[in-house]
Amino acid sequence: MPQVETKTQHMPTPLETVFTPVEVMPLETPSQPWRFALIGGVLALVMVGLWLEFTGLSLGLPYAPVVSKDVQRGRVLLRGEQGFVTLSESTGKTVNQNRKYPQGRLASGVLGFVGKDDNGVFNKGLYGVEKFENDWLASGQDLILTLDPTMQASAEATLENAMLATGSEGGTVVILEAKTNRLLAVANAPSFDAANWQDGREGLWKNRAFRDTFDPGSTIKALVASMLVNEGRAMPDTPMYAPMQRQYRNAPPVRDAIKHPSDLTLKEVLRYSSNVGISFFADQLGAQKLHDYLVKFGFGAKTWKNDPSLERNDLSDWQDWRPRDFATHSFGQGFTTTALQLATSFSVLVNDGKLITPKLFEGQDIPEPRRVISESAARTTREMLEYTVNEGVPRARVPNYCVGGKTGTSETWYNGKKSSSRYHALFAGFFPVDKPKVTIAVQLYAPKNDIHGSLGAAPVFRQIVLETAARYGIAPVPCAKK
Amino acid sequence: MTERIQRFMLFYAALVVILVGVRFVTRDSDQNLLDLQGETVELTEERSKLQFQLDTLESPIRVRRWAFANNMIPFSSASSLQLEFKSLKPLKPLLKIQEKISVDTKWR
Repeated sequence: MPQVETKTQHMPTPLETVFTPVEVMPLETPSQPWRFALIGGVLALVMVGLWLEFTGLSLGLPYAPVVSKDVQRGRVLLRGEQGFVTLSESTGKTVNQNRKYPQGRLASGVLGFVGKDDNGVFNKGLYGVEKFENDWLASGQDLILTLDPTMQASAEATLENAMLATGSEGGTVVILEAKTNRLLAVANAPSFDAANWQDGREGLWKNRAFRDTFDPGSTIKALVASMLVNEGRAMPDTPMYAPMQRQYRNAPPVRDAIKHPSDLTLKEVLRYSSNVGISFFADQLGAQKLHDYLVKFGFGAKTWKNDPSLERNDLSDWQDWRPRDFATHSFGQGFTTTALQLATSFSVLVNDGKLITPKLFEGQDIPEPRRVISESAARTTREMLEYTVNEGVPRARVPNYCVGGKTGTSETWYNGKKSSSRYHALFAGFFPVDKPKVTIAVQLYAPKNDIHGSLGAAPVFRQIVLETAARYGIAPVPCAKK
Repeated sequence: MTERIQRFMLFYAALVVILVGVRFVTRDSDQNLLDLQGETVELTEERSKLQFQLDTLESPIRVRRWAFANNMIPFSSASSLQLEFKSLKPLKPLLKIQEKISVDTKWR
């Protein structure tokens, strides 16, 4: 029987059916899969090994640029003669970052200090500019104050000397630049070391020049005189009957301290600082006008809008004034001010009758200047105040320089009532008289010697004038040679 | 197909070897970078300290105290003398110039 050759036919697998291969490749040799797996495995191991090696080499590679992990707080700077003077700066380690104060006590009352924030870092302003400009500084931006370091140092040293000489318990000096009203110096005494603020008590930390309020006293007579001139009610030589005291019904009389003739001109009222004389002159203005002018000069309101560093100053409504209250307001009693506000009000005379809001920071946004009195009234008042110093305040006179100003002495509040033994010695003035460069306000708190403004505060003004002249190179021009 | 796979795998392996080789050769750069970073931090701190010292030494209070301690005073406080300048007498002419100049000319 012939054998039938049977031929096995290759049946396509389901996968081959799907992909319809043209030709099915049979495995070449039975050993190939093993070789393939071996090579693949070795290669995979090598690659894993190499990858691990690469990772090991790359670990710890400093990818990021050097950036201190410290919280960088902006610096507070002053614009000095040869570049910036740093008042405060951030420095230190990542942990326990600290704030340093290279100028020590310079302007510490304005600057304030910082404490630890919620993260335990020294980046939270607790007092002064550090507090009120905390958001700006905490974001790492520098803050440039308008203070002139040389003038600030002069004002502070002069004030310290005056404190020692008069036995005062405190004091302030404010210096404003004419035309711009940039604050050139804000001196507070006693001062404190901002780096060791914990060593002091709270009373030391505050910026007295912005916060301590006091009756402006007789300094205000200069402004009342300017109001009278501006209103055309009086001129420097306008006479007025001015006895040594003025009687009021159901109220104590108003008295004068310095003996003077019974008839005084307006400028003599300033020269003798006559309360009675200025009260009679003020009658020509009326209570409402006096009140409105005081408001225009900046009293009864904060110097800067929304500034928490300033106390609200107390100026009551004129309709609440009794006749004697009207009189006392005309010689600076019955309402309060700050040293900053006193300087600002006198700067109206310096700036030809315009009130310019003072500036503490470079780039500070302030309102447009507003006119308070006319240019001629301001000039006439400056000349009256020059006469006042020349004739009545020898300790404010400056050889070879022509200065103007007004003294003041006002009672202090002590233990809740007005003290009859503790006073504020005040002086507000400017120089040179014809083209003023600066406005200066001086306040000494509770001096034991030289308690009057003409004795205690006037020499501070004189010394600051001398140092301002040296700082700005103002040539001596005696008054007589004008 | 297998050869193709093998070629690719060898190519990748070569790439990885090169990469790791390069990293190995530059293995010191990490430490160098870290050292440099540390040095930069140290120098920054040093600069800050020196700046602080400079600011302290240049303090206007310190300068003023030094000036006064050395008997310096503001020029505005200095005693000044005022004198009037008188005009000087006219100087005699150094050379007397003759008004007439005569010239002699000789012809040969």
